[in-house]
Amino acid sequence: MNRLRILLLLAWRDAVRHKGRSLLIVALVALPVLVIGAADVLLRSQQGTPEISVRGQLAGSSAYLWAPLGAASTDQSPADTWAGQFVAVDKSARPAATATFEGGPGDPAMVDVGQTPLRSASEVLALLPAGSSVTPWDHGNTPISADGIRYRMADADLLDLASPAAGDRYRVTAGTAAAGPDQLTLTPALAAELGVAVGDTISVGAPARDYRLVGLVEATVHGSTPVKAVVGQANAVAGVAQWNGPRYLVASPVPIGWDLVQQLNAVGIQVYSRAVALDPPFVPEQPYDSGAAIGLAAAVILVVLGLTQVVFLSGPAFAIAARKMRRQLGLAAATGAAPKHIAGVVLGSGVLLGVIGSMLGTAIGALIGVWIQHPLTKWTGIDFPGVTVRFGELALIAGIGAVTSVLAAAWPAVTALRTDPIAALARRAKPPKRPGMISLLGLVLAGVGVIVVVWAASRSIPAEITGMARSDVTGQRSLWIGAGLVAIQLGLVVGTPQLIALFARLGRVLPTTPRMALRSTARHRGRSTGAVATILVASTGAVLAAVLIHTMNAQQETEYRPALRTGIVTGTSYSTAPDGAVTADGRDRAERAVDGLVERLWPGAPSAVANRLAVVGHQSEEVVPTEAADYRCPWYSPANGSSYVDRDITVPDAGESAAAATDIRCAGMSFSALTPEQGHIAVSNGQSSMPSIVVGDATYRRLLTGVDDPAADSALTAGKVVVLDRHYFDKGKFSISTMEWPNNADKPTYHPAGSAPAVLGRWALSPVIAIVPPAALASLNAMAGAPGFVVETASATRAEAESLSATGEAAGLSLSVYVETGLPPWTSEFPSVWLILWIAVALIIGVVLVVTALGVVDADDDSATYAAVGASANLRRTLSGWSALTTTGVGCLLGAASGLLVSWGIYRLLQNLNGGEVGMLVPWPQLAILVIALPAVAFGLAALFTRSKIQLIRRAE
Amino acid sequence: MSIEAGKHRPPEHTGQVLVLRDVVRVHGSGDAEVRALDGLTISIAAGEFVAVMGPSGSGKSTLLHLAGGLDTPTSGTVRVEGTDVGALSVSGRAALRRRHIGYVFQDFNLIPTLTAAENVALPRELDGTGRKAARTEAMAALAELEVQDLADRFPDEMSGGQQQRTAIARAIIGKRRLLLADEPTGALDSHTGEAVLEVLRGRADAGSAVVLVTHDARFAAWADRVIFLRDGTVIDTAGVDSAEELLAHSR
Ligand SMILES: Nc1ncnc2c1ncn2[C@@H]1O[C@H](COP(=O)(O)OP(=O)(O)OP(=O)(O)O)[C@@H](O)[C@H]1O
Ligand SMILES: [Mg+2]
Repeated sequence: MNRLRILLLLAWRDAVRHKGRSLLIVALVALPVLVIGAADVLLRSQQGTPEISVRGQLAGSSAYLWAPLGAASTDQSPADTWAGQFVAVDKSARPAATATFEGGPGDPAMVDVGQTPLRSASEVLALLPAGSSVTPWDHGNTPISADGIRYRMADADLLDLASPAAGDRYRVTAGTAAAGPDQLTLTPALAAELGVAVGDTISVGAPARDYRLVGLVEATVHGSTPVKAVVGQANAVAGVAQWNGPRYLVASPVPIGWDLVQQLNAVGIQVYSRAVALDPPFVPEQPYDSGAAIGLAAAVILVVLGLTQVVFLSGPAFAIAARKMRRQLGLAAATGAAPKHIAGVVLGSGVLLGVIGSMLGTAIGALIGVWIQHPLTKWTGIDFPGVTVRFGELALIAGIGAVTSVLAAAWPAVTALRTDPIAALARRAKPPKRPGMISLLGLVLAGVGVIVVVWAASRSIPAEITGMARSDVTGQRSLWIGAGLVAIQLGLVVGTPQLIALFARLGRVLPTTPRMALRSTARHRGRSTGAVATILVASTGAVLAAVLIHTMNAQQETEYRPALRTGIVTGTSYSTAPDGAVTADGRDRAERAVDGLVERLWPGAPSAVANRLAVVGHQSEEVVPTEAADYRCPWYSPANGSSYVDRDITVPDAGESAAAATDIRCAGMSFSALTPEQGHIAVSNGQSSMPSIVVGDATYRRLLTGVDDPAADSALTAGKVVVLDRHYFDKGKFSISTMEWPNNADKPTYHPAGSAPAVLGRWALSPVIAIVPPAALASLNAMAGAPGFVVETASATRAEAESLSATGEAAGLSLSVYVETGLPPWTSEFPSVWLILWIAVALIIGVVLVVTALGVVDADDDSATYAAVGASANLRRTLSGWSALTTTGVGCLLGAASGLLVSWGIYRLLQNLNGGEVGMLVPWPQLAILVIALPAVAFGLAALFTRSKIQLIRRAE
Repeated sequence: MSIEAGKHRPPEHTGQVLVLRDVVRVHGSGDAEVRALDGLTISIAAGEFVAVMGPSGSGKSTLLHLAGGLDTPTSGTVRVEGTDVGALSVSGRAALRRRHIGYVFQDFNLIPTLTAAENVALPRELDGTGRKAARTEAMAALAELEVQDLADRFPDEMSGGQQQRTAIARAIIGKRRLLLADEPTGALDSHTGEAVLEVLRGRADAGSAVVLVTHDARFAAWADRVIFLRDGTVIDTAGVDSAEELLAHSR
């Protein structure tokens, strides 16, 4: 016992004496533990506890009921929440009443089930235990505006806060709760965003009307309850989705158990009950067992944590500390310390610093995990229902951290076991071993990997191989490239010692300082190998991601066809009349509303009203233009059937597909490579928010196209149709048909409706096929339908489009708005690629910092010698700078090279498969940053953190 | 001055503490082969103070390393207190050092992170003695060298002479009878050096076998016997008048 004490004492005193070094080790031990600790707290907080999640759903209420429309009885499992995913199944005689509530108004299923009467609050109350109370609760989205002009959408929660059934879901923080049908309250966040105060008037609803803001309320629960919301009494606000059927909150004096839930189910009511959620009855088909997955995740975390600790972080630091203690340990050996004692001292420092580091790391990690929840919710919208800290798990993480750091100290301890005391006392350093055979084999493996990648990528696939066979071959090739990448990375990692030795040998021609730095990098290979390997792998990933991002963005840019000029906003309303017909009076009112809306939002901006083309008795999508026979895409065969919206084109083979792609008659259709197996291409118009045939005038035409075309304008004035898509211009005429697609038919039938004289207008982009002047309506047997507009703004944004849509809704118009915003970057759809890039860069910088710190800690020895030979005080700075530069540079260079090689391989494969139009694009500036700037930064950091002061050797050391 | 007899009283023979027989120690091999010791035979008895002299590279330190069990001979035997050092394991030799051998080097003798008392108590504590008992023993040893007042100082708070005394205190703690000192006075001024010699002499008089490596004939004069080494062998000293003469001769 005492022996152990003296060993720990030696370790501890050494740690205290070299505070910088010990701090570094503690930090390196703490780092991974910190990350894992924080992740644990975040994960657990996100999962919450059953109590927290039930509170998030119900606040203080006992249950939530939903009486779906038309459901005579329903089935639910105890785990179901009210999130709106219920499938209401009528098990009685009416199969038609089976409905999933995904449709909207006008959905045939809705019409059908709507025949079952709603259940009122008093009807529901009668089914509940005596003494219960029930209050209706609506939840949805509604337009809201402070000035009645500019609207935005907001969550709406409609319930009577005074009812005991509301369960203190909201706390009144200012004013009072809404007590009447024209009163509302807002959450403070929403009030602040709108810039309104208690007492103000606000416009809410669809159609909107005015309410008085009587108070501010704060949600008492988070989770699925919105934080920014309008709160008023149920049915106060028009347009909040109610068609799912009434919902109720319940306060009950006795728990609502599973038996009662099943009774309510039997009469078509869904229930989310606190009692059932907290104590669910046994249900045979349990969801999947997460135990195994958690075990696997834990094992992976353990291995990763252990490896990083041992190989990259505290392992090298402990090795340095042990090396620095060598003389002392030799002295102890001379005084009679056995090898096991010596190893004990080294291990002891692993135990001490490991325990401190992992405890600190866990504590700080947990604190960060708690602290970061709020900002995280703000940035990403991830919801943390409540801070949940599992101390057992944190203790386990700290324990694992301590154990792995003892493991990290094990190798240096083993080395210390073999210390020759005489050599240690004489301060004779062991000459570095030459890098071994394995390392050479690594380089060979990397070479083989390069050959495999080049082979798999450069061999072209014979043209006879087409279709599925072609993609099969490509799939095999990509496997080869993947294998090559693995071989290159693994080989380079294993071969790193050889590489460093090689570089050191190459360095002979360099000036003294970099040459010395190279030597020392090669000499302290143990320290630099892990670093070079990490940087190598990270920069390979970074280059791969960067090239991919760059190339894909360019590809999209060439392929992107804007539908409109930037700044043009179009809106289209829908007719909700069941037969699609629009009365002249109704249309005029809507037209005035649209006009007013545009005028209010963009006063003075050039605008024009444009209506859908409507044919009495038909929905708008049933009115289609007739194609010109002489300008039909030859591969389009009407025999295959189809509509304008969805045409089937048979193209016999890939060769003809290429021909189709260049045929002007097929222009505007997007072709992908065809395979005989697929046999057809689906072509869709794409811009569903814009009608294809518009009733409008010359002003509309000019605004929409932005093209000067006096001939077209005078044609419109003269009552002729202007056709913008050549496919529908048939010898000076434009015709329309109506389409009918009976329920059990597999093809629609077309009936010509009418035709009018037309001219061909100029416009390259063609979301709109034809502009019909009002004068031409009669000959087409059509009329102006639901109104829309086009307006030219300086620059319109997505937010404005959303606001416009909300404002339209507030005006009682179902408006679909299209704003041309240009191409969003490809990466916005693939955040993971950015993530890889950033993780790689962060990793590289982190490794550079660690290596620099280790180098600085390790570099004390020679300073007196340097001073003795008259070296300048800055020599040490320059030396450690060069050292960091070498380590980073070697890693970045090799990583960039293998990243480039593999991305070239992937690109070649894709080209073989698709015949891509865009060449592989290398982001040279970013690559330069990686290969030049990062090593330079490493140089700077290392130089900055190295003490330039020359220390004279301590007297007793 | 005769080199056969020391200034002080003759040794009382209470048994051979250190015996080297036909010891050869070869470093390296082939062209780089160095015979640091080449067939050395010496025996040193309890209570005997032996000085080892010789030019640089003659094998003095190697001799002490072998005697202290820090190194093992290429051939021949080294016995300490009758135990064959070469037959022991690394841990066995460490235990031997803990119990029977005291080492003093030229400088950097003390572990910088331990106080004087802790440094002195280290071999006892490593041997399993309790903390209190070890400290009591260490205090006694420090008192013997008249540095008990420095017990709780760290090495960098002591002068060179004080550090050497502390190192000697550590070398004599417990029941050790073999004290090996490799130029213990090398880093000290002559006055302080004399004081250290006095202590070593005292240990020998108290019954220890003391081996002192030195370059300084004045210090060698404290010894009962002087062994001259050159190229790893003992030089025959018959017919040589003084240590100075011998050294001059051998250089
Ligand atoms: N580890 C070693 N490897 C090779 N040669 C060695 C080694 N240790 C000692 N030697 C050689 O053995 C010989 C004896 O060395 P030793 O240190 O015993 O000499 P010394 O008499 O103590 O010299 P000094 O008076 O300079 O301390 C020398 O030639 C030395 O170079
Ligand atoms: Mg020597």
